[in-house]
Amino acid sequence: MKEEILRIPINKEIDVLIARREIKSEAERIGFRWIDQTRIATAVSELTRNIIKHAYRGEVIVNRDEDGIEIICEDEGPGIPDVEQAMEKGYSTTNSLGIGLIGAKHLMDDFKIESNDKGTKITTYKKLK
Amino acid sequence: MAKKNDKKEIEKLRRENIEYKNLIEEMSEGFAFLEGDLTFSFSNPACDGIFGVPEGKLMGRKLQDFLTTEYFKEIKKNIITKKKKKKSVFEIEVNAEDGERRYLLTRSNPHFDEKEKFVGSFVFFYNITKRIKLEEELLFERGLLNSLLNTIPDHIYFKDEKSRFIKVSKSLAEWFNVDSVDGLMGKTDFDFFTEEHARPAYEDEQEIMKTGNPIEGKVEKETHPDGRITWVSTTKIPRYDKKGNIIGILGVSRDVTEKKLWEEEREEKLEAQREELMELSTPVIDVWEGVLTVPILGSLDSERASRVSEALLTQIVEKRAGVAIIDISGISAVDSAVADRFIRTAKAVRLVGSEAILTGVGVEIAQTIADLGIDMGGLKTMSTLKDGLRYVISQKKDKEEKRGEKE
Amino acid sequence: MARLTRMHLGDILVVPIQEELHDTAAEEAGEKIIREANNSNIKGVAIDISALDIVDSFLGRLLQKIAWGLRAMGKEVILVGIQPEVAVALVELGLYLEDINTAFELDSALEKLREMIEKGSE
Repeated sequence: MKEEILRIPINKEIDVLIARREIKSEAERIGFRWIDQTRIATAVSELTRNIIKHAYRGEVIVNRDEDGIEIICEDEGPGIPDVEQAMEKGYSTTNSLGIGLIGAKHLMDDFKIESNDKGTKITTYKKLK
Repeated sequence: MAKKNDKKEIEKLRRENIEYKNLIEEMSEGFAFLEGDLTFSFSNPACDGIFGVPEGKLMGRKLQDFLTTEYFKEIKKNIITKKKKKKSVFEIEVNAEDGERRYLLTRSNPHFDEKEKFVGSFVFFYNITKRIKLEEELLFERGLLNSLLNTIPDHIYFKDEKSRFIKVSKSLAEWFNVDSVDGLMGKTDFDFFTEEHARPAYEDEQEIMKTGNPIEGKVEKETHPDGRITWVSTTKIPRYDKKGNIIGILGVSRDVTEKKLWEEEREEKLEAQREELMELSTPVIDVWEGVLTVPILGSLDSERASRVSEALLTQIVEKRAGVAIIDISGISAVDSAVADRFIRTAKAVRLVGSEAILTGVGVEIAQTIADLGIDMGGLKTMSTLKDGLRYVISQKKDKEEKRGEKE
Repeated sequence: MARLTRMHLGDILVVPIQEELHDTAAEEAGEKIIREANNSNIKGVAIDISALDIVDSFLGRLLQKIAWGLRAMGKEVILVGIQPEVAVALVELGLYLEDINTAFELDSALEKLREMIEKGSE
């Protein structure tokens, strides 16, 4: 049974800090271990920064169910033209977008990107262990 | 002329007489004339049959021959006291002489002579044995049902097509904290449970009534308005009328709350045990001042690697350990994923401000690492824990010497 | 972020990062640190991030850049107080910060820095 617990607009740089702080608290409330709380907060930081830097505006939606937490980052930006490429090159170049995506992917358990020129939606999930 | 009329009259009377006689002979109801002392002075064939005697043999017999004495006294009172020109109707039980016990509906009309003296009663006997037997059976069955419903601990409920209670077990009334089963009549689940349980239960029932498919042994969570949560195992089947139409459901719900709680407790215990095992298998040992060791035994999957890191890093920071020795001599297999994990752990150790040394790197593991071309990234490795400790101690000594030189 | 706390302990500059910094503020802080350290008296810099419980890839790389910048100026650098959970997250992000020295807390950081400075001058 999925339940929405947070919805945070990402419009300014400072929203990155706000979003990750609030979501870390939620993760603690839900019962995640401290190390997972940090992973989640760091992933949120990476993804929301991408929104600010590349799409200018967007939103983070946090849902929970009995097994864990789902974090969705959505924006109406120009989209990521070649997701695979972005995530591959991310390591070697200074492509912050790619680094952010790869980072978030490693920190979370599930990771899914849907992107076109109308916008991008990244759905991630962390299991409660 | 008078003679002719008389003849016609007589003829008419005679015919009528025959007709009446025939009527009485043929009718299926018993008809008799009982005198004041309840002796049969006339009985039709049906009556003879009812009392189980051959035709014509009821005459001269007394009604009390066929009744038990107490019964007879009762009847006599009834028949005799009705001398006041009133009809009376009552039921009697007779022991017929063909061995059968019969129930008779008796209608008695008192008869008086010209002087208004009571001479006896015309009595009709209707054999209602079948009906009485049916009634008795019904009462008996109802008695059985009520006994069942009053004593059975399972919650039994009969519902109509709108899922309203028609008949329930006492245990269900108690479950709802209602004084008597009447308090449930016409009500539905919505009156006793919160929407969370009532809604899906209602939908289940409507589905059963629509499709005819029963539900068996479904474990349900009951949510009560007072906050109570209970668990039951429920079976619901459709109820049919004589024509085969579905008119409601019959449900049985068994309380499995205890079992459920026990299961949950057991699961929790198992989880706690698993946690403990995880903890035990990654002990962080304080071997020397500022030196921690974590022996890794068995496999190192990502879950365990995560726990090892957490445990190790927390302890390092807490104890301000300058060195962490990660001993992998107990690891069952080393592949690039495993190597990757302990290298990452070592790097995290360094980030936190401590030094990581990998020990237990025997010949085989060293070979595997070389074969896989894994880059250890400057991580110090040694073949045994002893070597690791020796190294750490000699480092310390050097440091102290240097400090001594300065001073 | 208006003010960046800093302390001079002899020839060592200590900069504690006490609050969360968004990107622009973090970059400004980095510039301030480099400017401050660009002083012949300063031989080493200790950046204390023990108050931070979240360090993401941006901040991680920024710290790296600051360290390189300082080294390029001939100063020794040490990163102090990386929390365990931060260390795990950084490693999972692939940021090992291998060319920066680290320490748990200020005491040991200053000691190490001292050694590094002395080694450097040998």
